[in-house]
Amino acid sequence: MNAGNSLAKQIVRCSRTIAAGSGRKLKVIGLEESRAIAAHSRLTPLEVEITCLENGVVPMRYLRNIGTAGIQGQLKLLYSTVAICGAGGLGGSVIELLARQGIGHLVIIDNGRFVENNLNRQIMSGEDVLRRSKVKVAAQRVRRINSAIAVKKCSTYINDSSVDGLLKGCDVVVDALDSLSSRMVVEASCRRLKLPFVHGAIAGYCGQVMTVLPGDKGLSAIYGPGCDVRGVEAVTGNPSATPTAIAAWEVQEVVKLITGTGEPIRNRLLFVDFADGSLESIPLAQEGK
Amino acid sequence: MATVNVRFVGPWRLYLGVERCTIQAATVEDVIEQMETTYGPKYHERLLRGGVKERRSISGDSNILVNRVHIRQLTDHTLKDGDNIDVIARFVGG
Repeated sequence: MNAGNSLAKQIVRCSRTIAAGSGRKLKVIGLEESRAIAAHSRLTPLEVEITCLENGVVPMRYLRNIGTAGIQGQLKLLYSTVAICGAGGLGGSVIELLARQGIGHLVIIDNGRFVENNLNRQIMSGEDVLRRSKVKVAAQRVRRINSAIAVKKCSTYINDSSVDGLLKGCDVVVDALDSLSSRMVVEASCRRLKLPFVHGAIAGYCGQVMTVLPGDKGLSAIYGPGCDVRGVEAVTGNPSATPTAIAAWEVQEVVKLITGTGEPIRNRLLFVDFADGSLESIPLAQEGK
Repeated sequence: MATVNVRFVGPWRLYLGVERCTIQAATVEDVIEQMETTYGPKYHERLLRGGVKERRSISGDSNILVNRVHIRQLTDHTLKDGDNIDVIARFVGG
C-alpha cells in the first residue's frame, strides 16, 4: 500500500458524515484530527487539507464555503496564490477574508508600520501592535485564523524593479494600495505577467471596484493616462466601515476568478456610495475602442 | 452648441446637491467652466466648513468621462447633442 492510499484511508477513518442541508450528506473532518494527521505524517497542514478534499472529505472549517465553491472550487482556492499589495485599510480586511476563505498561499506586500491614525479602520491594527510591521502582524493574524495557509511576508516598497519578482507565480493580484502611482506599477506588472488584477479604492462613504484582465484597458479607463492625480480622500478621510465593505467586494472577485464562477466586474466600474445607498455600474471604454 | 447630459457620481451629490443636469456647451472645456461656475462655490463652501484651506476644484477632483471615455484620452473635445458626461469623484485611498 503506498503512502497516499494510507493517508487517504486515515483521513476517511477520521471523518464523519453529516447532514449538510437540503438532504445532502458530506464527509467532514475536524481541525484537531486534520492537524494530528499532519503532525504524524510528513505533510504540511495545507497538504493534508488538500488531500482531504481530494478524497471527498471536507475540512470542517470550509463547510460553509462548499455550497458556493463546491469541493473542486475549494481545492482550487487551496492550490492558489494571491498577492495582496498593501496591508492597511483595504488590505487588512482582504487578508482576513482570504484566510477565512482558504486561499492556500498569500503574498503580503507592505513596507509600513501601524500608526495611531490607522486604528479607526485598519482591521489588523490595535493598540498593542502600534509601530509594528503591518506585514508581520498580518502574517500572525493569518496564522491564528488558519494555520494551514502559507504566507510570504514582503516588507518592501513596490517599485518598477521589485514588482515582477514579488508577483511572479501568483494567480491573482489584489490592489489595496493608497497611491495611483503604485497601482500603475502593479497593473503594468500584471500585464507583463498576464495576471488578473482586482482594483479597489476608497474615500469617505464611497468605494469602487474593478477587475482588470490582461488586455483590458484597466486603470487608465478610470483615471486617464499618467499617475499625477490626487483624490478626494484628502477631504473626505476614510471612516471605519468603507474599507471593509470594499475589501469584501474585492475578495468576492478573487474567489470568482479562482473558482471560475460568476462574471468579473470587467470594463466597468462598480461604484458604491453609502451616503445615499447607491450602487452603480459605470461602463468604461474598452481597449481599442 | 450642444445640449449634453451631466451626471455627478459619488460625494458630489452630497456636496453639490445635484445628481444630474443638462448643460449647453460646444466643448468639454465649456462644460467644465460652466460646472465650476455653477457648482464650484458649493464645493468651496463645503471645503471651508471642513477646515480645508487648499484650493481645489470639482474637475480637479474628478474623473470625467465623455460617453465612457476619460477626457484625457479624448482626441476631439467637440460635443454633440445627447452626449453623456460622468463626473466621478476621484479617489485613490486604500
